[in-house]
Amino acid sequence: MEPLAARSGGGSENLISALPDELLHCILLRLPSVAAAARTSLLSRRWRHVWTHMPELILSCSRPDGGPAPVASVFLDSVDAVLNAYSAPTLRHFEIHMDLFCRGHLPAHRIARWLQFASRRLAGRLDFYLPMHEDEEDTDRELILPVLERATEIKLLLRPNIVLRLPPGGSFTALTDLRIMLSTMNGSELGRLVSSQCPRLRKLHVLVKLAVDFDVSIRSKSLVSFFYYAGPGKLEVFTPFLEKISVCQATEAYIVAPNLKKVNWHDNAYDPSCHRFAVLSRHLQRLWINETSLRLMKPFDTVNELWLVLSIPECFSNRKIESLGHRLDN
Amino acid sequence: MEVDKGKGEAEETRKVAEADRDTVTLKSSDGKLFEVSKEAAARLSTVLAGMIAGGSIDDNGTDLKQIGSEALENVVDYCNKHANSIPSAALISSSISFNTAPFKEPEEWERKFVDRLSHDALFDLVEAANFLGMERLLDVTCHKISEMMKGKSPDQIREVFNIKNDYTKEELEEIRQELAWAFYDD
Repeated sequence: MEPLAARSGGGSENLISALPDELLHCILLRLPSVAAAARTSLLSRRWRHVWTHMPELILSCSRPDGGPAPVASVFLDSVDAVLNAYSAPTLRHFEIHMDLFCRGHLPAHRIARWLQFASRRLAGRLDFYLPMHEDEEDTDRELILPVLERATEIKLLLRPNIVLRLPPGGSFTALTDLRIMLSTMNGSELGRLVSSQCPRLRKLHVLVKLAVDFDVSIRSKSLVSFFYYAGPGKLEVFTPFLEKISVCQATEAYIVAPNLKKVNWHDNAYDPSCHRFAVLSRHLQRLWINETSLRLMKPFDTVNELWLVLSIPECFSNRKIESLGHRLDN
Repeated sequence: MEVDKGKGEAEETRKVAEADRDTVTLKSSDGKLFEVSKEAAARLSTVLAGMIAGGSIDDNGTDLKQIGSEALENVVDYCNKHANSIPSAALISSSISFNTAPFKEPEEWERKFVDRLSHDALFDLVEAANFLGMERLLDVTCHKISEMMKGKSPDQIREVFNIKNDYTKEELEEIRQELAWAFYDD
């Protein structure tokens, strides 16, 4: 390699085109969009295909400041064009980011093609953010998540009318972090995915509507943190190394987690006749509950931090508040 | 004789001090020597960290044959400035934002640092940062170059970087049609 020093003071030759592709990628990735990076194809032959093997693709469809909500169809076509032109065998980050208020059809089979692309090429992080707006005419609503063997993080923010189906076999071998938000799912499929198809999963965050079958059973030796907002239905959790759990909406719950350190219980009341915790240590670092779930204090003797959310009606007199305080003391 | 003995002792002391001193000496391709804080060098450059850990640092100046004195001076200057700066709150919190920013924005002093560089010095520094495995400096310099491209037409970008258009008219038209999707956000 020619010493860099030999060139200094050399004046104005085309220094940028002499950089290796990996450095041009560093530069292109900092442009505002993949479109801007693709337009560098027009500079010269050296630049013709540089953008087509950038290690990351972040495709966003956002609303210009104060402008009208963008139209989905234009964006869908441009994503297809990018994926067709993309030439690298693997990429480390693939993100689809659509504006929350994006208008127009969003047929599930178009999104499925992008997930298929991720399944073949992605070794790293996947983020999908779809718009909130639901199009009544969208009848094609079932989306199948393909197996993503090399994905390490998956974040899917879908829309409530999309039914996310999970693959019957195959393993998400590298996955450590999974978030699924705002979709409809099948309880048994969710349980199967986490229990037998994600051997390294450490963090799981689900905020979904359950359909078809409502019971979710999770057995995982890798899970450390679990946020569950789904219902109605029964939740079973067998996780020897789980440290942190948040539960909302489960009508029944049976949680075996000997190493639990932090518990959040939201929304529906904790009722010991249908919600049970099996823990080894009766000590918690943090317990976060509201006044309908005071009985969740029972399985634990001590807690470092108690976050208690109280809603006190305006008509409550000070005396009543004091007596509530006494009851809590006891 | 007394004086000589004292000199010898001083020499000994200096040698001992050099063995565990807190700077390293780097030598550019044109033989100039630069001193940089060992801690900052190890923190900011994976290559220097490896050399320090592996004991391949030469007290008389570790040879960096790929890097000219102007680029090395900038590298060392960057390391020293970095050692003295306190990361801003924005930099610390960016990792927990919902819409994760792919890159941490350069700090104000980092912007100033690259803004004062000539075109040639900037490109030499990009390659030096790449050679030394200095991720943060690479971020900052590539960010600067991308700023020079942002919002510009292909013609304007060619002009800024002195890129020669070696396409035929027909070829350009063909690419333009292929990339029709990439012109919507203009």
